[in-house]
Amino acid sequence: MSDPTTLSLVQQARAIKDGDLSAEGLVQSHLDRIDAHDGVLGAFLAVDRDGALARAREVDQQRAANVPLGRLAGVPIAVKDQIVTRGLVTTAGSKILAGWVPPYDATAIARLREAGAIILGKTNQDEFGMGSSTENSAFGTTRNPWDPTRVPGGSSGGSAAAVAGHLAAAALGTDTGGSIRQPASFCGLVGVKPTYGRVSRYGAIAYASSLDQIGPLARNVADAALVLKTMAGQDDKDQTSLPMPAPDLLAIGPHFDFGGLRIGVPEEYLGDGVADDVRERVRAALTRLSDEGATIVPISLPHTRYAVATYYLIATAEASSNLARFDGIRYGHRTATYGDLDELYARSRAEGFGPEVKRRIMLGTFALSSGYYDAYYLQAQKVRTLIRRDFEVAFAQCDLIAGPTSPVTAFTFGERTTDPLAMYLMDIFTIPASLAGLPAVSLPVGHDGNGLPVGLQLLAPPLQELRMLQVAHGLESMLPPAVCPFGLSEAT
Amino acid sequence: MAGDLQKILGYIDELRAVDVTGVAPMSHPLPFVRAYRADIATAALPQAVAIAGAPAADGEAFIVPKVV
Amino acid sequence: MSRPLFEGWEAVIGLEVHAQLKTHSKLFTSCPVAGGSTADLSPNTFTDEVILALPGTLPVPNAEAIRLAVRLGLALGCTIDRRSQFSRKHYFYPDLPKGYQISQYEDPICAGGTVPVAIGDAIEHFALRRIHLEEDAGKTIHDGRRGESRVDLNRAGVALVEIVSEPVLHSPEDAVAYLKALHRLVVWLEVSDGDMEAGNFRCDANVSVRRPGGELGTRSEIKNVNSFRFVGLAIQGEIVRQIQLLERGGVVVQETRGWDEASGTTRSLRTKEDAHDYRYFPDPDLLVLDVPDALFEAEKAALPELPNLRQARFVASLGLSPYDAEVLTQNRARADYFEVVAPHVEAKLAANWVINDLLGALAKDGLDLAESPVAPAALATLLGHLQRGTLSSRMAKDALAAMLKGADGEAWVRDHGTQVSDSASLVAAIEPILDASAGQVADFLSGKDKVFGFFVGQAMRALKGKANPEELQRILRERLEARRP
Repeated sequence: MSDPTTLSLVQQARAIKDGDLSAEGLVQSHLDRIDAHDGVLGAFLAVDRDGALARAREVDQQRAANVPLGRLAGVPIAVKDQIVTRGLVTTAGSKILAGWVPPYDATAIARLREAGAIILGKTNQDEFGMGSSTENSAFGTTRNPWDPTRVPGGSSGGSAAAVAGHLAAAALGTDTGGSIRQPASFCGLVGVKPTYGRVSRYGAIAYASSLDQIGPLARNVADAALVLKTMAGQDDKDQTSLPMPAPDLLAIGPHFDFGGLRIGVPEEYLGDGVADDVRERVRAALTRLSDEGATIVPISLPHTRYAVATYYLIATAEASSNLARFDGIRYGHRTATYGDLDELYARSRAEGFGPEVKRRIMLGTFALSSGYYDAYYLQAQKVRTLIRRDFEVAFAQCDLIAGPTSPVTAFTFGERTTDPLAMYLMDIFTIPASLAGLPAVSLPVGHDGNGLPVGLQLLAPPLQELRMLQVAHGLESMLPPAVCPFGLSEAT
Repeated sequence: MAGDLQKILGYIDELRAVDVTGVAPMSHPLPFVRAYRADIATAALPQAVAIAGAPAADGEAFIVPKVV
Repeated sequence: MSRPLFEGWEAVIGLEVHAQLKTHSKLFTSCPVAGGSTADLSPNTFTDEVILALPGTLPVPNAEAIRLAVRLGLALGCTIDRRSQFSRKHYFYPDLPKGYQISQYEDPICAGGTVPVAIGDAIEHFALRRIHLEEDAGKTIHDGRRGESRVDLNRAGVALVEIVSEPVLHSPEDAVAYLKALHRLVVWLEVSDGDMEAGNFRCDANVSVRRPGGELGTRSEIKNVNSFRFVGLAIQGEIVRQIQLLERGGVVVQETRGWDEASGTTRSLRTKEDAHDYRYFPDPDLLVLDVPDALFEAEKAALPELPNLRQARFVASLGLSPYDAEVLTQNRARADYFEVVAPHVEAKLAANWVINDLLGALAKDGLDLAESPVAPAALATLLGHLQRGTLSSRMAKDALAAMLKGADGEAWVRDHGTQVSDSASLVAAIEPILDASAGQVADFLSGKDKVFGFFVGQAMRALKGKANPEELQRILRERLEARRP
């Protein structure tokens, strides 16, 4: 096997189990690729070489001793720095947490470790999940492996770049308004945001509590399903986690019968705001589905035009509250110069938070403040109910909803940083599923004229990850695979 | 910053035009009930670990400027 | 209604009590709660990642805290909201790790209800506004070092109930009586240990004054008072201060005042000119606080007879004096103890002995009835002897003293003999004494009454102190009379 990093995650896991690959060798291959290419990509903020290799050797020893291996034994995973990892510096892309070493693991991480997965390191992101390009990181830039002059998307850009660039078999991201799905779309990957509550949020540094979810980014649907299955399920440490076990996501078969499947396409999702190439690729994918027997049903989600505003009130309000704990007293950055307590707070936070974070904290504080709460935060929560009702009505007419993940493909650095509002508006297709708590997946359905990946998003009713991923898997199998050529020699 | 915020708020203001008569705010995406935690104490963190990340501590407590 | 006026003024008082709930772990995490006062503990030894508000941590409610809040609400006649809501209350302070406190705002777990308080001979019912659950903050300790404070989070996250009255009290005396009644109740129900020195039962008072029938005046809030006596003094002092200020033409400013023990007055801590905007909103990490049927019905069924009702019953049915009834219902252990004893003997006798003899003796060792070496059944048996006359009062006291040191009561009675009450034995003891004391007999019969004591003493000695005093005296007089020529 010339380069095991180009195997899918499922293939890597099987190779370890069957003894065709050693975990140490597999991890070392990934570390070598990181050394060779991450200088350009900038996907990783920190790589745990010693820890990863030590854990890999343990897996090899277990295999040699015929100890039963976990489902992900030996598989190298990258983790977005928003997710807490014991003993590994965790910053959420922010200076305010520079150098913070957590004493505990997120539940999702603990479950992956228990399944034998190897945590390679922590990936770059927009600070605290606030951004759509990873240009809001305090620690530098991450480049899109499909075209290093372009952004990988955000906020889970580092995770996306790592997986697309074959620096990891899969990665974890967090998705609040699209932060897994949009980078997946920009980087030609599969990205899943589960039903709200499906994966424990314990250890996901909170951005917006009623929206955040941890999810996988992978190079194909089966890989993503395996990682999701391993992490998902009730957690007693997260009161908002669903009191039920994860669905059997390993039951995704190679063949899916599309006959009778109704795919809803919202009229609001394929209008003028969408780039022509994107619209065309998405339409072509839908045509493939209808060729296979699916029915395309035109639907309407009339409150779509309010989704971004609704999101930016609720998410920023919750964020302003969740970020109040960063005060330079128990952990994190503390200013060097202060006269009194007020100055300690003000300076530590001013120095530690980047401009986008500050902007959102101010917005959120305003939305919650006395006299404005009813008109802003409460109003947004009510419109949120209307947005969810749109979906309930729609799902009476169809089984899944489809559309573009993003109106555009990966843009160049600096192209959209001057106008925050314009940046916010790009999340128009991913935000509604977050507001309604629905499961959603982005998968690659072709490329635009510049060779950049185009993502199609499927939305399902709550709890229906299995059917959603079955359909995604079926569609994927009909399309040519999207293998990013970055750093790959012809010999692979 | 101020200009950006102004613009964003202007956009968000459109939300106020939505008729939400009789609509309840969405408290949680899925309405379910969770059992509470039984009142069983687990081990506390050792003091050293509790203050390990602190920018200013005296070996036992977090230090802050004098609070009036 | 007691509504004493202060020379043309009426005081309006509302009380807020924060009581620490009796749980093993904290309100939103399984981190242990320190027993007793946290003042002696090493700082930050009762924390975990949730208490420290480490990034990524989440709250999970303590089932027992919810149970205790429901129990208290039921006991006070509140309406229990079966679907209440936790809210976040935001402010920056070093002892508040998350930058917000998880409390309840628009939708508390209990609303309404009353606190029954014995005022004079009557029971007054002071209206409550609400009871809600919230987490406690840590402590900032001012160091000797200049310019620095130390933050200790041992107390952070501990479960509290906040009990808020309507502004329906009008005197410091009523306020203290209310607080004592509430304190007795929370301890009675095992909702809180009520340890005021440890800060587990904290009283804040909102005080204003007005002309009778006039508009409500501006109120000030008194905090940091850790004893009933000081609460009374502080409220009294504040009422006087406000009246004097207003009579001078001044204006009462809305502010927080603390009790300063040294000067015996309240001092301004901070003014509330800029009312803090706490930016309350429902906590998205916590679901609706649902009170399950099983919990609700179980607590309703298990509610004990409330102390004020038990106290009233002791007076009405058992004929105890109000004072005795109050002492015996000071806590549940006493009331339970007494009611084991009471059916077996006359109630007033039982009350007398429990209060004066038993409690008195225990108090010397710093014990209350819960730790009594003498079981109530054993005391009942002893008092039965006393009541039937087989023991004299003196003997019974001696017996009790022995039982307090571990002796078995019945064995003691066997060993030390019972009281001599029958005429034959008494006469048999008396006659020889009279025979041998002809001179004293003559003195007595000639009118020297004091000599009677001599005979009593002699007879008692002869009978080793076991003579029934009443019978002895009666028969002695008879035998002396019989010798009158």
